[in-house]
Amino acid sequence: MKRAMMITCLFMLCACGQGEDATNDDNNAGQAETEAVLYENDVFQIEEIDGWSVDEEATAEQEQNVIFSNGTIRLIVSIVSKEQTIDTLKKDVLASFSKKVELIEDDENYIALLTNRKENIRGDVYFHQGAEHQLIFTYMTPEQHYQESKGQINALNESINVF
Amino acid sequence: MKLKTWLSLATISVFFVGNTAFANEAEETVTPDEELYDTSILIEETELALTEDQMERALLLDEFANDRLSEIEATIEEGNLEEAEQLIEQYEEYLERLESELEESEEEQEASEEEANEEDDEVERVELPESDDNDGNEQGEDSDEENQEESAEDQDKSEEELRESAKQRTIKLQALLEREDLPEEAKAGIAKALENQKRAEENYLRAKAEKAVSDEDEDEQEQEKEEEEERELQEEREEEAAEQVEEENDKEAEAVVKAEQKQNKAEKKQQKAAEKAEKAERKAQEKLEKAEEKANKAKEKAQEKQEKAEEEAEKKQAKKAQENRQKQEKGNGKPNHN
Repeated sequence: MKRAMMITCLFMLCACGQGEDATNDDNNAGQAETEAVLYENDVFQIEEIDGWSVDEEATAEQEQNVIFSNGTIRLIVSIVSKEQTIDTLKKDVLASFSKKVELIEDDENYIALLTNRKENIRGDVYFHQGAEHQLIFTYMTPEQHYQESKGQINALNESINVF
Repeated sequence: MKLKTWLSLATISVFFVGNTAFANEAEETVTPDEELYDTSILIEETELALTEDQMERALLLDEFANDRLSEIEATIEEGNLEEAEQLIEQYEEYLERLESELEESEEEQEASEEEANEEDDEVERVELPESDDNDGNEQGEDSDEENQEESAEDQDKSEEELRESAKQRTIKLQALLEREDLPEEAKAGIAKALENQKRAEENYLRAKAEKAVSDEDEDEQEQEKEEEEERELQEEREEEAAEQVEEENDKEAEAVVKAEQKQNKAEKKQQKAAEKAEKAERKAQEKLEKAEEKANKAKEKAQEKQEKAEEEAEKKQAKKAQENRQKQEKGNGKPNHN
């Protein structure tokens, strides 16, 4: 009888310990998930990526825009209503750059621009559709650094979740 | 025939319309009442932040100031005076930024000019001692000068563009001021903007004039410096030529002295050889004499020996004869007293 009691106690202790481990694992996973997010709001989320950071100062003054940076690459994420067509948005983005800007690529949800100045700036603009909003991801980088920036732009593009 | 003409006309017009559409797209602006206005301002600011060249930054600010003025005109037309006043304030900010950017651009240019001059001086100092082997360096210098000239031309072109743009803005601001439907506050803002614009222009012109004067002074100084350098170079060349002549003379004199020395040496050698020959002759003579003497002595000795031998032989003969006589006497019984 005593033996049976001791075995039951040991079994219970082991079970409790495992339960605690499982709870700890859940907590750790949750923390890891929280740590792995670079930025999130109700409309979109960007997973953490080496080199990229949120420009808190510039973003603080904005209501509809969030600014990110990575070396010489800048990313402006703009939240716009669903009322506007992608064509209108494309025109507006094009008009936002300095004059003499050239449209060098035009796909369904993407345009590439290049300013025509002494120091050219390359713009890669992606249009995403959310449930209630549209999102414009405008990457800007000096033309001379564009080739080396491509990888980082693609990496961030793959880490975007739109709600 | 008619169909062909129509078709070509249609093709040409489509081509022109296509091009104009793209150009218009680029010239369109986003107005403050549009949803993407804040984004467009952010894009402008980002473009500015990613641009390093001061003059390029000034040109961008000038373009953005023009955009703000167009927006002011549009909002006034729409009757949105509150928005217009805000835009006028922003416009003034752009003008201030433009002014400071231009000042920095001037300073940067002056600094780069000074640096270039210092580099030139340094290169000249290094090059002077070996002026024959500097073709490559001269070519590099030429291309540097060309680059400097090109950048100065670009600078002038950009400044001209900025002046023209400022003139256009002044005209637009004056036109706005003359409007009767504007409230006093808006007019005061525009007047202030106009005043700032004029002040900036005056400052710019004054800086330009000062720069022109200082450039003239610098040119004069540079000319004087060049003349002085030319004089120094001439003097150095003359000195070098004189030194060369002197060196040649020295070499000739040295050669003469050496030849003389050689001749003296040869003469001495000859003399020594003659002396040696004389000595050898004398020695040979002496030897001959000695040999003759020796021969004579030997002869004399031989003669003496012969004489002695003859004497001895005579003595012996005499002795023998005496002995024979004595023997004869003894044999005869009579002593011989000879």
